[in-house]
Amino acid sequence: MEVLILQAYANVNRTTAIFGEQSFLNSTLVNAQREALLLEDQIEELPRTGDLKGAGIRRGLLANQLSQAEGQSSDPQVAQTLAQARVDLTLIQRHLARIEAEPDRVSVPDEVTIMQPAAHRLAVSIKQLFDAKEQGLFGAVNGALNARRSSERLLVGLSAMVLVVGLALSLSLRQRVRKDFARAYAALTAEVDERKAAEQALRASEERFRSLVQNSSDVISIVDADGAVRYHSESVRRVLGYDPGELVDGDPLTLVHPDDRERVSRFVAEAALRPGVTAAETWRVRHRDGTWLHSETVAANLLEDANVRGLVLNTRDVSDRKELEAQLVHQAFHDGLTGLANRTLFTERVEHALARSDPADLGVLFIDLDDFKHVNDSLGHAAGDQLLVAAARRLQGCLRPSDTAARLGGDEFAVLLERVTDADAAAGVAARILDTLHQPFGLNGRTIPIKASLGAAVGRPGVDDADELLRNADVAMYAAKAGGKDRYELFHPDMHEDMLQRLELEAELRHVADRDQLVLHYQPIVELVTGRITRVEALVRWDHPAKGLLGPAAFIPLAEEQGLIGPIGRWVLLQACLQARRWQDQFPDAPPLSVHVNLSGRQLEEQRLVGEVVQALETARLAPRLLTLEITESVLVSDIEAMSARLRELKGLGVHLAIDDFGTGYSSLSYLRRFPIDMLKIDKAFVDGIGRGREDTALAHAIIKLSHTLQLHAVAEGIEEAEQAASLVTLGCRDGQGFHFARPLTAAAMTELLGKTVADGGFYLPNAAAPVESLSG
Amino acid sequence: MGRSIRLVVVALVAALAVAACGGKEEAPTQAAPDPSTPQVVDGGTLAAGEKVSAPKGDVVLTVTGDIGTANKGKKLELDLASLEKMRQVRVEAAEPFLKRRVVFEGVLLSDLLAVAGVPDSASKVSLTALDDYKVDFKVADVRSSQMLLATKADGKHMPVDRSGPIRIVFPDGSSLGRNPDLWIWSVASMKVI
Repeated sequence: MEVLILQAYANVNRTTAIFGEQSFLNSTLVNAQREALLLEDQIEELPRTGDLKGAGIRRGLLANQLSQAEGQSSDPQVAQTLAQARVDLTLIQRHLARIEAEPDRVSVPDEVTIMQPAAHRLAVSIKQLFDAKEQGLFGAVNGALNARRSSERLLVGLSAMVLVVGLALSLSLRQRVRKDFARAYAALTAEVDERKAAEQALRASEERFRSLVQNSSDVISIVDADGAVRYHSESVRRVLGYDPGELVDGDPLTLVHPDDRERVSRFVAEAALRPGVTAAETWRVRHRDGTWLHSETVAANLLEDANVRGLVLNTRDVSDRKELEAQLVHQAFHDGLTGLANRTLFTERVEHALARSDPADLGVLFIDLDDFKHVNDSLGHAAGDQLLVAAARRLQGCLRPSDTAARLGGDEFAVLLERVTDADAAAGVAARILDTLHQPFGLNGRTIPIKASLGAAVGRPGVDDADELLRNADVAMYAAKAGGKDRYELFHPDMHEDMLQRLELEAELRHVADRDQLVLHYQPIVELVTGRITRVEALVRWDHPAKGLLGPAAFIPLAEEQGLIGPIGRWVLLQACLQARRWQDQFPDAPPLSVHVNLSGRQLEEQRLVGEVVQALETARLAPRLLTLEITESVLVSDIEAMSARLRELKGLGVHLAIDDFGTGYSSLSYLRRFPIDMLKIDKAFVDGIGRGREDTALAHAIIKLSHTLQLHAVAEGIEEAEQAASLVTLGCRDGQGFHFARPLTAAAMTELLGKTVADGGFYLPNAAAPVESLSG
Repeated sequence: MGRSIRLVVVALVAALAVAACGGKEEAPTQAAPDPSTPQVVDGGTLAAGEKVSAPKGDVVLTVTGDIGTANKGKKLELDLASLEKMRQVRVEAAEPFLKRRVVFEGVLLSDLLAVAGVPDSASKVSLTALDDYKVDFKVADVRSSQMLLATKADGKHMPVDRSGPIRIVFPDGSSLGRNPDLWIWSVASMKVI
């Protein structure tokens, strides 16, 4: 810095004092110029150095010089310049005082901007004055040399000589002084301009940076190598609720969760060892109001950077993200609809439980809601969901805190019992669950009970792992379903075999129709009094290659469940109609026999049944009135409205309709009247009752009377004894069927029987009271 | 010749006696104090050999080097209050730069050297001002002169604007004082060598 040169001249200038007042002033002006240049420099540097005291002293020194100069000259030019200089100096004094008065000194750059021109003016005006006065010195000497009086001339000459000698000496010094001063001055000005530009650029970028830091939603902190906080950005107020000043120099670990402190210390220590930026690390910090937040921090090692000398931490509040993550984890392990554990979590729990405890202490229950699909289809998915939620709640209500309830999917639930004493205890829980579910559940204005099939399995030590245990519960549930639903079953090892068989059967059922394994047997319905065969009921059998002949009970429910009833039903319809037609053709003189075909509930649910009936009749060329469709009473009352409509459709075809197993369902009389039926088939139970006691007989009588009242044809089922037949006649029942008359016969056997019994007006059994054995099988 | 010689001797002796008495006469400070000669205005409470406590106000003078009394490490730091505890002297002098007479008050530099415990072996003191101007004095010259380290001008403390806070001034008649270059103002530090 050229300014340093100026300091060297502090002493030299004084030597000019020997040249009297003129040079006295000049030396003062030289001093003043020095102070002015130094003052200008110090003011420039003020934002960087903050040396308010130094600037103040410099100003005082310059003021002192000006005071001296004022006293050393009577020249008006000097007085004027000095007066202006005083004004500038006072301005600078004022603004220095302002800066001192302000505690945070944020306006230093602004104050400097105001002081700079004044300081510059001072330097310039004093310089100009000095230059002017230097000329004056020579002028004075000149004037003295031109004096007239010789004595004066001598005196002056002598002093001039002294002056000249001295001058010559000081002139060379002066030249140097001037040159150096000029150089210093020029350099200072150039530097000042450069510095001004650089400073403005720096200020602009600092402003930008400060704005970025202040407005960033992340908290930016600077931390020493030993972990002490030096700086927090404004955003710490927003994020953590603290003032930045509150935290500086404090121990940042006080804000960190105790469990995380060690990890955080390690993180900071490691960041200090390595250059560059760390990976993100999360820990918990405490908000000023006491709540804990999850924060994620990245650290940049700027210890080597002269401007920072610390670690820069960038911290972000990730509490929301953590919550979301937790939610996702929860969702991954829980069922969204019911909040129960899902299959994954349930399996895990079972595995853990098996690892922890004796398998014999564990019970697993599998619960499948019965006919849930029906609810979904008829009442809609929203209702179905409500049902599932209610079932889940009820399930949980039956359990202890140590037990786990889960929804495995669809309408399948599972329960893990962690402290079962034995299988009976598990059964007890199962029973309780079924009871709880049974309580009517209000849905869309109706109340329906929730029925389920439940399988329970208890762990076998040394045998069962998690998969085994779950499979056992599953197969037990399957058995409950197969066993009729709305019940529970305890697992036993045979169940696997049973289920396998059932599954096998299912698989075979799929092809039963096209494998010609179905066969129809026919049982005649006779006029009780005359023994005349008027109708034939077609009964389906499955001629299983391995199992032999299987009756409908063995496979029809399964077929219905599996949705396989369609092909079977179609086959039966067609075959029955064809056979009826065949008999008609074979025995053209006898009145044609009606054929009865049983319809299952599933068949009746489908619209296409109507078309199938039409198809069968047309293919067989059978008159519709010769086809009677039998429907069990319980099926009819399961959905009065739909059934009613379907029956009407079928009736419209011209076929006859009969209620099978009448008396076993829950039909009310009013509904009966709405159904377009022609015949009631009285259930075997009532027929059995006849002759056994007064009540039972009265009951049978009542039903027969009912049918008459409703103008329905009554047929008694399951007549096994001649007395029953006789009694029925007495009670007014006209027709009946049963072993007493004939067992179900193959088509061939039936044809043979018809051939034997055909006579005028029909087919008459030889002895109404004597039963006919089936001739084959 | 006898009696006249005796008279002359007596007269001579008397004259001598008178002359001796005249020589023993007190310094003319009692009757009509001459302001241009240094006068003690306060005997002071801080004398040589005593401990100087740490300054409470702004430090105006730092004394370093060959000294016997220090209050900050090896340095002796003094504020205006400390200086004013020493023996205060007042003198009216001709200020060379303002070209008028000013009544200065302060400490004799020789007294200051004593308080600072400057040994007899010291040779010179170097004074440096706030504007880095430097002046050296021989210790012997300081002890024999009455140069003053002034703390007040015309009864008031001096700001930097007025050559303060402390400055070296010389009373009339001081040979050193004839050189304006030695009237160092805004003194900041003193080094004893």
